[in-house]
Amino acid sequence: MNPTAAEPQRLMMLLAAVGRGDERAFAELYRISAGHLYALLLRILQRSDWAEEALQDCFLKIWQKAETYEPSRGAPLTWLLTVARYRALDLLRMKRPETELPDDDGAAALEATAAGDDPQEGAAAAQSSERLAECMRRLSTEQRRSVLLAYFRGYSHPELARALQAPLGTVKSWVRRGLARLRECLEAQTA
Amino acid sequence: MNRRDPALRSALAAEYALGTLRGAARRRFERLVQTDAALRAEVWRWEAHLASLALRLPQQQPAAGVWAALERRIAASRQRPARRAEPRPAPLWRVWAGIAAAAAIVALVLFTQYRVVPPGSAPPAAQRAQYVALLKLPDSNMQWTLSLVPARGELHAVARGEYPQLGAHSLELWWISPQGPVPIGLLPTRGEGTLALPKELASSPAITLAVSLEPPGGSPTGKPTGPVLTSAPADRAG
Repeated sequence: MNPTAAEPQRLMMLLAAVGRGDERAFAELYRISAGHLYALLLRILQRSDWAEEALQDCFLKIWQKAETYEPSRGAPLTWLLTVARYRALDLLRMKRPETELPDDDGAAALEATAAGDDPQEGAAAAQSSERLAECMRRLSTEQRRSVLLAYFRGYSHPELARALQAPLGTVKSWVRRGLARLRECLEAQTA
Repeated sequence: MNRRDPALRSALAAEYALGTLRGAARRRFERLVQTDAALRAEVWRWEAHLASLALRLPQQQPAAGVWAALERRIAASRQRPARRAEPRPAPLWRVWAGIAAAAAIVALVLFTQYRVVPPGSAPPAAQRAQYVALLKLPDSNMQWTLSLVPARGELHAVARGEYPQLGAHSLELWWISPQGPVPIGLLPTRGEGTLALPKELASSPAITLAVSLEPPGGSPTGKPTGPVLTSAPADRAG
């Protein structure tokens, strides 16, 4: 048995216990899920000190708000990752003035992430992750890069325009159309 | 924004979840989401879609000091008046989890009881088995007497009393199946009504029902979106 397997049922029970103030369940939840959350935080924030701070913030919030999770929000790990991502975006807005963008072209590396690497979770998540990867491949290169940079770097429209060296209006439409195509593709596959 | 255009609603939900919706537009959208359950569900769908991207990252273990620091912060936050001290309504999903657990126990008990019955001696009336349930809403005199004939997929509801908090909402009846809540239909708030039962319910060894408060016309998502007001088992009546 994989000790880090983040199975939805297990996580759901742990979240319920954490909502009741069960500290052992909280420690177990951390042990199982922190690796996933930290990987995302590190990817977005690019600095381990910020990512560690954000990870603490997330788990403090999870400790306080575990009871606000409900299954209609998606699988538990999905929810935890969403909590982590919003926290990272908030931190970025506080800590990274728009003038201090990391001077990298991370897009290519990000594409490798979206296309390669096996998903790190159970079968259901693997399936949805596989589906998303397939749909991401169907976007134009610009659309895909825009969505990935917004997701993994937390870029705003103006930041995307600078990173991709394109006019603001063009970038906005890449994002908008990329997301619309993503939706069509995901819905066609589930229908 | 035109609040009814589905493409625009989805586009805004997507940009909200992605984080590219910013500033005043983001705050406006956040206010809208608070009162629009369907829009909220659309945001959740996008959050889940996008989180699939993060699931592809290989895990990274944080330094051990992070956990220690976290424990200190939690201990510090406990010095303040305990947030868990004041009683408050159980959150929606925990109510469901509780009901589902209770239903599972009932099912288990029934299952073990059935096992001691020699094969072939099952009650011949199983085909026409009838169940009754009484559902009462707290803080009101609203109640329903329900009679169910699962084999025929029928449920008959007789409403009594009044639910002053109803407003423009609908009251939706759910069967708590082992897989989670399954919608049965909207309960009449006066007089009588007949609802169709899901087929799978006929093979269920125990039946638990629940009522939730929903937008007019019922839950837009097929799952409960409002508070669970009450739940009760249906008892075998013949």
